[in-house]
This record gives sequence, C-alpha cells and structure tokens, in this order.
Amino acid sequence: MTTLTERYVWAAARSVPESQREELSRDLAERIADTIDARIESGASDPESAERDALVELGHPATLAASYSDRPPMLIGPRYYFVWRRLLIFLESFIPATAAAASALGLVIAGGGWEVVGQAIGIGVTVAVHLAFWLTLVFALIERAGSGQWPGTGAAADGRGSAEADPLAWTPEQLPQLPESRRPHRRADLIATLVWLCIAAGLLLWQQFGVVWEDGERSAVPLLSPELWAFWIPYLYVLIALEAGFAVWIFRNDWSPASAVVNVVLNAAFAVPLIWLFVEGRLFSDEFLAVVSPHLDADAVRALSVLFVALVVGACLWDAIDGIVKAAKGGGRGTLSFPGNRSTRP
Amino acid sequence: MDQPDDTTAAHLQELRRGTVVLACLERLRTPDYGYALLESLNGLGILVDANTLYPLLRRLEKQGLLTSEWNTDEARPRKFYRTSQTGERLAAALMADWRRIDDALTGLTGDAS
Repeated sequence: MTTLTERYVWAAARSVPESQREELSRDLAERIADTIDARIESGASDPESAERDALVELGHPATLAASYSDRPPMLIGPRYYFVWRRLLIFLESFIPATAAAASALGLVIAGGGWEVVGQAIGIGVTVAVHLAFWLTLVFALIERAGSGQWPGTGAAADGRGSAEADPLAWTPEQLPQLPESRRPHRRADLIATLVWLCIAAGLLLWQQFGVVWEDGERSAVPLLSPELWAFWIPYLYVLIALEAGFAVWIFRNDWSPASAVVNVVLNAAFAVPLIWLFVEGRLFSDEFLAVVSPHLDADAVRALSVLFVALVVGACLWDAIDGIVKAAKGGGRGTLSFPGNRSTRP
Repeated sequence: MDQPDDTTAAHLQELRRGTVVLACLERLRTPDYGYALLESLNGLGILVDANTLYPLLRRLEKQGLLTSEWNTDEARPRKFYRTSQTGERLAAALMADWRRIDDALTGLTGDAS
C-alpha cells in the first residue's frame, strides 16, 4: 500500500464506527489494489497515475464508507420524514411568535421602550432555530435507534416491517374520527381548555400588579418573584401556548399513544420547574412572603408547602394519567355511544 | 438501443437490483473474491457496478447468505466469499420466483412465439 491509498483507507475508516473499521480497511485495501491492477491491465491508466485514477473513481471516502456502513447516509429517512415535517411546521407556526410576544411583554413590564421590539424578534428567531435543531436532532436519533436496517433493503424502510416493535409506527387506530362521529362535547372541551389557558395567562400577568390583599386592602405586591420574568414566566407562557396548540391537536386528531406521551411531557415541563423553583425559594416574591409570613407559624408554612407541592404533583399526575387512559381506550372522546359510530372496542 | 433517459435508467436499475443478488448467490457457489466476481458477472452480461457490488457482498454476508474467508496464500490478501446453505435456499426461492414472473410476463404480453 502506498501513501495515497493508506490515506484514503484511513479517511474512509474513520467515518464508520470503530467496530467496523478494521474490516472495512482490509476490504477497501483489496478493492483499491484490484481496481489499480485492472486500470493498468485495461490500459485505462498509466502505471504512474493508476492509483490516483482508481481513487478518483471510488469518489469521496466518506460517501464510499457510508455505502458500506449500516448507517443510513441521511439525517431523517422516509419513515419519519413526514412526521418530522408535520411536527416542525406545527410547532414553528406558533411557538417562536409566542415566545417573542411573551418576552416583549416581560421586557415592557420591566420598563423597556421601543428597543424591546428588536430584542423580542431576536428571541423569536433564537427560539425558532433551537426548536428546529432539537426537533431534528431527536428525529435523527430516532432514525438511528432500533433496527440497523439499510434503507431500501429491508422491510423497515417502508414502515411495515417493525410495526409491533416500533411505538411510532402507524396503525389504523390512529386514523382521525370522521367529523360526523365526533361527540359534540369535543368542541366544548376545546373551548373550555382555551378559556382556562387564557385565564391562566392573564393571571400570570395580573399577579405582578397585585392580587395580594393586605389588611383588607389590595396592595401592588407581586405574587411571583419578578426575577422570574427573565426566563421562567416567558417559559410558562410558551408552555401555555403549547398546551393550547395541544388542545387543538387533540380536538382535531383525538387521543393516541403519541399524544398521551406529549401530554405527559407537557405536564412534567410544568410541574418539575415549578416545584424546583418553589423548593429553591425562588417562586414567590420577597414582598409577598413578607406580607404573609406574620400570619403563619412554622407548622403552617410546612403544611402549606406540602399542600402546594401535592397539589401541583397531583393535578399534573391526574392530567397525565387521564391522557393515558383516554389513549388506551383508543381515543376516548367520541368513540363510544354515538349513533353512526361503528368503531367497536372491547 | 438509444441512450436511455433518466427515467428509463432508473427503472432498469430497479428491475436489475434483485437479479444481482440472485446472480451473486448462484455464482458464489464456487468461492471467489470481489473483483473476480465483478469481472465474471459483467462478462456474463449481468451488468453491475463496483459501487453496488462491494457493499452488497458485505450486506449479504451480514445476513448470513454468504460466508467469507481471507485468503493469505498469495502476496495480496483477498476476501473470498461463498454462498452459505441459507444463501442457496434463498437462491432457489428467488430463482423459482424469477421463472414464475417470466412466465407471467410472457402470458401477459401474449407473445406465444
């Protein structure tokens, strides 16, 4: 082997997992040597330039190695491409705008002027880029997890082969209900959820200007720590937007195992930071604590703390389990006892 | 034959893809190494490209349809592939299907001659 071939083999081998390197190196060395010989024999190249010509014929080492490797030379394959695209468009359609609006609001409250427009746009762009990156990363990992099938050679490539093993595989149960077989309550559920989320969003803002009553008078004491405007309150607004989007999603597509998982994640995304901030003592503002502490002794504080944590955990857990149960029933809202709905379930 | 356009070329490639596997499994009942196999298949009129054949051999080996052994008797070590028993069974099944498709297409075109 001469230097050029050695360099080629090394460049190709380093782009595959370590376990495959030695075998690939030997295979490639054989192939290159045979290709060189063939070029000289057939008169396609001079003996001096044969090696270089052979390597040119093989092409970029990483591309060649990819054709030998079990890993697909693609970020997201046909199995997940449409799910990825649909989810990306759906999320990008409202999360960056919501984040920008929420941070603009926060900055205005913190005393910002017109310059907040630029900052808010910047935050929106950052959120959009992050969203696209992380979503794509997750899908790229899903693509690489599980079957080591080469795309196009196995049943896995067309999404039929591993239906039992693959939780993201499509099943007929995921088909949306026909509009006429939906229970009328679905719309009411959606509206109730959206109204509740609007109230929550309003309360989150209003608490800044005073919901605290001191000695029978309303005082302009913020309930939550103003420092949370830097990140956590905008985060809650994003979460509220996500919840709203999710409610619309449920309205249109009904519950499914995938949406139950999303529901669990949303609940965890709410409960975990909230409890963490509470435990760290960063949730409520000092002013608020100063107002209430004279009325409470240590036992009451402990009891209220436990009660608060239990309420948050309980509410989120209940909602998460509710989603799982509905999904397990195969899309609960509207599959039962509705005339014309022929979906039969045990 | 005219120079095939892109669509034609793509369909021809699609049509030939499976036959290369079958040809390899049949040809490798006698052990051989990559380049010799490439030459002999192309010599027989089974047109296959090195970029297709080499990765295919590795894949068939991973699937247990071929076995391989490094021959170090000569100056240059070479990997000799041989069709395994599983490979022979698959070759028989593919061949039977190939003939069936051939018959079916003959019947379809109604070409009795």
